[in-house]
Amino acid sequence: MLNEILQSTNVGTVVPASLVIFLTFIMLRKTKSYKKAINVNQNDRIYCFKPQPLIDFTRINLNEALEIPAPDESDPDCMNLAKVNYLDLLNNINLRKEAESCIRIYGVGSCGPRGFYGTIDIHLTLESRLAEFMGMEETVLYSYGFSTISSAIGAYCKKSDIIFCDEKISFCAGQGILAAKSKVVYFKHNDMEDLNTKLQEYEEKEKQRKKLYRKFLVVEGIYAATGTICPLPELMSLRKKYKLRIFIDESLSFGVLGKTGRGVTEHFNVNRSDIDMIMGSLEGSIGSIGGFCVGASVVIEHQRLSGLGYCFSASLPPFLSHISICALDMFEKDPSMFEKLKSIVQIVDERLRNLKGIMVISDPLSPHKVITTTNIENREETIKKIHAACVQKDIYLICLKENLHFNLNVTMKDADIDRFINTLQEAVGNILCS
Amino acid sequence: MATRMNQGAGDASVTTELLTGINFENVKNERHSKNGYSKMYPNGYTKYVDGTNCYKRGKSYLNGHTLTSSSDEEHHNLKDKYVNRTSDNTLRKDAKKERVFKESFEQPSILTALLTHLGFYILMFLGYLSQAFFPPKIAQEKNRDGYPPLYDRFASFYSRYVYRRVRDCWNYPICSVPGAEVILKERVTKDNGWTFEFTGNKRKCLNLGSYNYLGFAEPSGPCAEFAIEALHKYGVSTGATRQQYGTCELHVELEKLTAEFLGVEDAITFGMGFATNALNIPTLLSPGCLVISDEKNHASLILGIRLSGATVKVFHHNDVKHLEKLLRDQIYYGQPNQPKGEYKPWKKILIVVEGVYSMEGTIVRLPEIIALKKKYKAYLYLDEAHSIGAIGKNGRGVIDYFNCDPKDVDILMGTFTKSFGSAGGYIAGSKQLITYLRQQSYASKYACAMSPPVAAQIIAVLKILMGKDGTDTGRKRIETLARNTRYFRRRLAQIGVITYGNEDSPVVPILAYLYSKIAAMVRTLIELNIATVGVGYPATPLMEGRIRICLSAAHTKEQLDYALETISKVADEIGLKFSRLPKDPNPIEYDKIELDY
Repeated sequence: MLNEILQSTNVGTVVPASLVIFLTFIMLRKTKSYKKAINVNQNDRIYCFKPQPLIDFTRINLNEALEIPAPDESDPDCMNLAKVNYLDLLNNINLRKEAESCIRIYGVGSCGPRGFYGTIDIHLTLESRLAEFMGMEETVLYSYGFSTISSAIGAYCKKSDIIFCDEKISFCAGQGILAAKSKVVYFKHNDMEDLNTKLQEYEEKEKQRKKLYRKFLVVEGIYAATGTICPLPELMSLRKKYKLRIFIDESLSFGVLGKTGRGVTEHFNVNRSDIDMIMGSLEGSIGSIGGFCVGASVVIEHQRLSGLGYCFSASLPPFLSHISICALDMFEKDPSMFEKLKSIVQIVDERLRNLKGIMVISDPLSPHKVITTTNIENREETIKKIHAACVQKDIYLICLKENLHFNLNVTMKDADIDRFINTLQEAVGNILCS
Repeated sequence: MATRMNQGAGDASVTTELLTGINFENVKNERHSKNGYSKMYPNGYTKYVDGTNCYKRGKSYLNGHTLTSSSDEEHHNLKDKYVNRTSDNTLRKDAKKERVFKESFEQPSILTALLTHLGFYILMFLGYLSQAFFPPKIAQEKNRDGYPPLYDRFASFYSRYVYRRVRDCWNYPICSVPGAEVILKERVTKDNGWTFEFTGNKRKCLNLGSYNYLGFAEPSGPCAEFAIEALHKYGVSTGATRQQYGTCELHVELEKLTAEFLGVEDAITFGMGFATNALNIPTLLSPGCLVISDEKNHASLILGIRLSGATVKVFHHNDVKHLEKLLRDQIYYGQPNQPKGEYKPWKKILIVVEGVYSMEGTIVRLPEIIALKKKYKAYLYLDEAHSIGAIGKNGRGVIDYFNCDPKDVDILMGTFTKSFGSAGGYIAGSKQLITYLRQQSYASKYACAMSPPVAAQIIAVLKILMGKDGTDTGRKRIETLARNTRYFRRRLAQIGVITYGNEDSPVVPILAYLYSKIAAMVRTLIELNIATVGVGYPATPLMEGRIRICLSAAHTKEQLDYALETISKVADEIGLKFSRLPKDPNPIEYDKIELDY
């Protein structure tokens, strides 16, 4: 029976026939669903389209102050610890005079991106001076601290790469990682064991696919979120073991850590040629605006064509570049200022740690201090109250959710430190008692 | 040097699906009229005069708000001028009712196109050859043995063996204020572009490269003085973010003035123009929102959109028909990949356009886009980086130029780098929007506040533009720029080079097509003391390599004449007179150029 059927029907016709039937079936199905969609009139849908409002009104909180204006610093009692002014270069009269003379030659803005006549000789000088200062080959200059870090990461990390990144990484580095679209692996804050296990995981995967991933490690010198310092020596040994490329964000540590202010690498005495890129900000201890990346020229040169914030943005205003050069001059001429800052930082740290009811999160050597209360309940409100009490005494700190942040500077005398610690103690005491 | 990032980069799905049906025929027609011109008038002017037939056919393309190949309009005007002078007046009257949108995109001959492609392939081939025989001289990575290479092979090949050959045309260092004239620091390369050396000489050039539209890049005068005053009062930086003790009185004053200048409720300013786009768009959008973006939008806009996680669709440059089709389709189909083919509408739709496009020299078709935005309940984001100050009767950008209501644009963004000779950017709009941004913007939370002297310079410029300084300097500068622009563009058309863009746009791209011609043009012009900018692949499409000129109110007629004469001479030598459009035989008089405000 079967044989008969098989013999009577030619296989050569059955196969194409069934194919045709199958295809028409699929096509019919598609047109059917297409027709179903078309049942609704296009104009009706357009008429019925109700977009959400442009802004999310629920996120506007009118009870909170939008912007806190800068305090009046001409008042001798005013102690502004909110601004980043570690070496007191923001108030330096000589630097202002230098900036003035620069405006009188070059004007205020640069009127163009670096590629299109926006490269001013001052930029080139600053770039070579920064490279020289850090003992590395090349520097690339950005016009905004935020864009430096986000553009630099985005220039190297591609979709198929893996970024290992500390969970407390700054927001701007986070934006760079988001733009890069690479795979991101977060490890616990400064936890080398956690990082090690995660790296091992990927080493296994690499063995399976028999091809190396391009792996990046992104850390901060001093973390803006916590004020802690990254454990660089341990990171360096991991870098060597797993062949990572390490990028350090030194926005806060450049011009602060180390005997001569060369940052976290000098602090730990790590060979800088082992670091692939150091990203720094001129908004930290230099007291200007802008940012830079420094490293080997093979690496850094790439950003001149691929760093989005470098190619597509107007270059840094000349006077801001010029005062950065002047600040570097001062760094080189008088490295004792770093020692001075260090001693003040250590004194304040010791006294903070002796305060009752206060927990210091930041590293003893970091001039960016982060503290919170030992009391876990209602932390956010308590911090707000402490902040308000300090403001009343003309001491300005930054209140961010559960933490108080503040930046120490070299102008703080013993009396200032006493006043600050006493105010803090009083405020904490009052709140905890009530 | 790239100035525009490919929108396709990143995986924002940018495929513009051309579905059957709706309005598609029109789109096709326009494309045809845009490209088909050369076929219709092979000999340009001469054929047209004796053939009214051609003229009629040309007119039929002007349907509604199509993307005009303006060449049609030019014919329209030329016919009236040379054939039938009596109707000239009536035409002018009509023009006054609605702004005549003169935008030109002349196509080159097929031979030029062929040569351009051929030239590029030869360049690539030679690049591969030289890579094989001459390994790169720059330092290799040290002590990174066993690491996977940091760069893709093609990217490093392109920058080393193709871009390097013309590298001297970009990043030219200057050592003066970038005003009407600029002093270049001469440099030479002894190893074909790997490294540069300074000769120690300086070369004073006419500056046709900087974005100094209103000529406010000045080392002296009221603006610089005000900036210096602010410098001594507030220092170079407030050292903190806007939200946390970084706001000084100058910031508040600047924002008030900006809002008043633009005629909106409120404004917020940021320290960097690029960051204004990249850091604020993400706060307005979320996944599930749709962005419809012009294909020629700036990299900062694209980055901002990419960071926001919203879906992106791209419409043809300044093509209102295509935009409408996208809007209709997208509202109709809603969000893709829903379970069971359910209909889920987009949360919101944001149209992102620029005022003046910095590479094309085009002006956005704002009135039509506002109409579409209202019709389809979308929101509009207008980036006025190059248009604020530069166009419009009062220098208020494209809104002023078209006499639109600023309240019709939901988000007005702009930068202070260009016309204001300063740095930074703003966003202006309703009080609610700005309040929201003050609280939620990444830039005011995490980035340093604008430098006080920079803010002071902007305040001083704004006061001059608004006439608050008691003089009419501002108005004069705006008028000079408008006159310079029309004069320069008309003279260029007479010379016979192909220029792109709107007749009122101070950004003037001159098409050079071939890679080598771009480089030759930039180099020769610098030799003759004119600084211009060249742009080629990959910043532009391969077929649209160009020289870009930015005009300024600081340029005098004599300077422009010198530039025009030189360009004409060099264009003859290099062979850039590609245009086959009819040329105006009458001399163009600078003082008699009408400015139709």
